[in-house]
Amino acid sequence: MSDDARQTHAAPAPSGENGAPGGHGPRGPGWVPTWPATVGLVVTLVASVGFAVSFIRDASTQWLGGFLAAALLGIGLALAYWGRDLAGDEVISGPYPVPHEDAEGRAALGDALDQSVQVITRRHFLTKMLVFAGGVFVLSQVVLLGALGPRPKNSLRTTSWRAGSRLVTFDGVPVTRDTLAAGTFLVAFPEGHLDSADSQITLLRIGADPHFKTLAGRESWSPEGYVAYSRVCTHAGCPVAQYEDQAKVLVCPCHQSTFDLMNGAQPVAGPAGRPLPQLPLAIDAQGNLTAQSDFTVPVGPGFWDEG
Amino acid sequence: MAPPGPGADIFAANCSGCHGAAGQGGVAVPSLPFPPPPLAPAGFASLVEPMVRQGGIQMPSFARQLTDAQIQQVAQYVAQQIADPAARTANTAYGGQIFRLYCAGCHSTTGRGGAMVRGRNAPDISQYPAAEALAAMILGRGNMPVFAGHALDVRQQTSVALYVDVLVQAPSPGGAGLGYLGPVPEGAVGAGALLILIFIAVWLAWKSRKAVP
Repeated sequence: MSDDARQTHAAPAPSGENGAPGGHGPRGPGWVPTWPATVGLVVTLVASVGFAVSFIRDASTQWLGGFLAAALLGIGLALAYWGRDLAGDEVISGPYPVPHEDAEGRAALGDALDQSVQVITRRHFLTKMLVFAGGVFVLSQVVLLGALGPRPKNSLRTTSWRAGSRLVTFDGVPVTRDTLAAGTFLVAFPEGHLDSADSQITLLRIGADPHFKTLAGRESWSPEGYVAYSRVCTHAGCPVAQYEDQAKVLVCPCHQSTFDLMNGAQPVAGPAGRPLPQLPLAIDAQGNLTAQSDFTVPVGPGFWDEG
Repeated sequence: MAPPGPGADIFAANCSGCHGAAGQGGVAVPSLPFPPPPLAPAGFASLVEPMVRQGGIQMPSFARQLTDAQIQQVAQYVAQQIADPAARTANTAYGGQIFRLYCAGCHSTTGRGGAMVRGRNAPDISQYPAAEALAAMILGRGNMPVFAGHALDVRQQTSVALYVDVLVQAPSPGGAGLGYLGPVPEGAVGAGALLILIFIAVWLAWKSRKAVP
């Protein structure tokens, strides 16, 4: 190569010497070894596969973290080396050499073009390698979707209440028609589902209070003055734990949503926008309180109409 | 069970007038806003004694009429002879469970009370003897509904009272109690202290930066 027409200065970088030990191929100006970039990408490939496999096999977080670190380190190493390859490490100044208009000059130009093509092909290989390794790395992260857990399916719309479920206290004792007197309340659960948080209800005995408004379509839901509302606040899902006996309201201690028990648990104050769902009640032949069915609307905060 | 002794006489002379000869509870009279409650859930002398000594919302203190020994005797008598035997099977941990389900919503988990809507509030229950909780559960108080006999049986009422007794005389692990309001104010004070320490650190660093020429 004729660099007599150019002033070429090797940059003072530590690896500025053309070619590393063991390197092959043409060593033109700006040549840096590609093998560290290739090794980096291979490390990324192997570590990505290792990450996916150890996630699927439920390996410890140390393995997951190690593989993730190796994959990212590999890609980082490759990009760093490649960036140096693209940038070169020489400083060129002066006019570009014009080859002589003779056979020797043409040959020199041909050599120079060949070298450029080789550099470009090398880059082409590295590009493919980078896309492949990057793709495998991104794909290996798809397994993380598995950590989102089982799909909710219909569980947000249903609770543990079934037609005929008996109402029991937190101790599992069935609630009978004689348990409550007018103006008293208790917290009830479906029998066999004491740990079902979305099924807890406030069971209240209104008695024959003339202020109690039976909503249309709910005429048979409150036998003998018993009414039951979901205890899960429709605002943020807190237990609606405060009962004010004189005002006949349920108040949520989290944000003071207030529900009027005399009028279908409609919200009368606070942030809640929906009434507490009412559970249709019945009394069976043994005098136990039971549910006619599950709630007719979803309990808790309105997940379905959240923008 | 101890045979009727001096405790029975003290009870007959001082307590039966309001609570009934068998502790069955009394009727409301115009001078008393609440009727004297039955003593069925008073199954532990440790619940009865502070009530007799200090008095409650409506019940007067008997510390001047009775000696310490007499107060202990009548408390033993009520717990052993008057109370429902089921009350003596109560336990504190179970009471804590019930307290968190039914009471903590209004009175907060530490029993220090809490705000209700429209300017009302649930009172700090630690300012009364624990037995006052039994009276409130039996009779209801204002907006507080009656729990006894409906939501809670005798054993459950006594368990709650035993737990309230723990809250009233909260065992202190040391340090400032901050009114025993619970973890939120404690965390807020901790965060505030942290912020002040950060400011002090920045201030010190700022000063030393200026000192170096």
